[in-house]
Amino acid sequence: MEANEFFLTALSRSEGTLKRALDGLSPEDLRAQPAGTGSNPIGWLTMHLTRVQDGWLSRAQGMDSEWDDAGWGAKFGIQGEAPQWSPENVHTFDPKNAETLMAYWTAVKARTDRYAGSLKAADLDDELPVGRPGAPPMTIAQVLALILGDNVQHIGQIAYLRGLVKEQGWY
Amino acid sequence: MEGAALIAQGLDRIAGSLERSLTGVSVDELCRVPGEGTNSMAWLAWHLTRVQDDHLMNLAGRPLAWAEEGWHERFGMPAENDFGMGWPPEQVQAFTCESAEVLLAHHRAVLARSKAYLTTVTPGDLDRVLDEPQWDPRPTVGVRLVSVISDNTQHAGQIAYLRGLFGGYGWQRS
Repeated sequence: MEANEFFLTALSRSEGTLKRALDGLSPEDLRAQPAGTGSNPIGWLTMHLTRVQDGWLSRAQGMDSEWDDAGWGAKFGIQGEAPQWSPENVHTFDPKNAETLMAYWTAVKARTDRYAGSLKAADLDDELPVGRPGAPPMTIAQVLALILGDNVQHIGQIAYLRGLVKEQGWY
Repeated sequence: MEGAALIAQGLDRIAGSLERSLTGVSVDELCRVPGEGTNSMAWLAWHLTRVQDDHLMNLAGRPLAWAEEGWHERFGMPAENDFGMGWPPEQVQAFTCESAEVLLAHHRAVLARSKAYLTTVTPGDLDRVLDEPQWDPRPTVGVRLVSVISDNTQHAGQIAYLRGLFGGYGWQRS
């Protein structure tokens, strides 16, 4: 089992948790902030984790993101560039509904499967062509670990929030 | 990079997240629950560490840190291998610990054993099917490691969220 197979197996598992956690949530549930405007709601977290994955994949492949290609900003009511995510902007972000969030996730997941599924063992030690500005270069395997770490932490938060704002024992 | 190395990197990331989230937090805050039936930071940190100890040491065929290193005494619990599955909400809410440092020391001890095991795992080992007929299909070593990473990473994310919920916006920058 190579690192990219691990990555895809773990990601599919995390997708299952995300689907169950969002299932049947209303737009109000998606925007609920149990600690006030400084805490992240389920809807914003879902958009954010998907967009982080989308961004890393597009940089790794030197191509446009799904967000830009398919105009997801406009679908979420964002005109032009997405804003810096200050507490105020997180509070006002409109996730629309669970279906829209899952549609964006599903599109990014399909891109992820294609890319990570095509990697060979030797590719995993290649350095990323475009890293974060000013950051030291990263290998593809490090990028996969980073995406997974970010993604699964946020999905765990979403699962916790569902129990907090909606019902306990839902899982 | 082989799968076991990615898992080791994932475990390091989880430990780093716990160090940032738990350091300096009071016992009162560690054991606080934000709503009825929810899990505290202390319980989550203890539980995820116990899951890692149980699952990795079973794969390694080694005794658990919990009993062998006497961690159960630090938590005032029996040496039997309980990792919190199926606990009723009252039991979770009554869970307590000495300090954040004990939670972190427990985690570091388990992480050291996990990483020692992972350095011995070859690509062929990852495809070994486990003798667990209760699952269909039966899991491999690789699938079990994915379970641990998924479980532990989700819980580390929950702990970070709770730190922000109690500590306020921007805690991770201070």
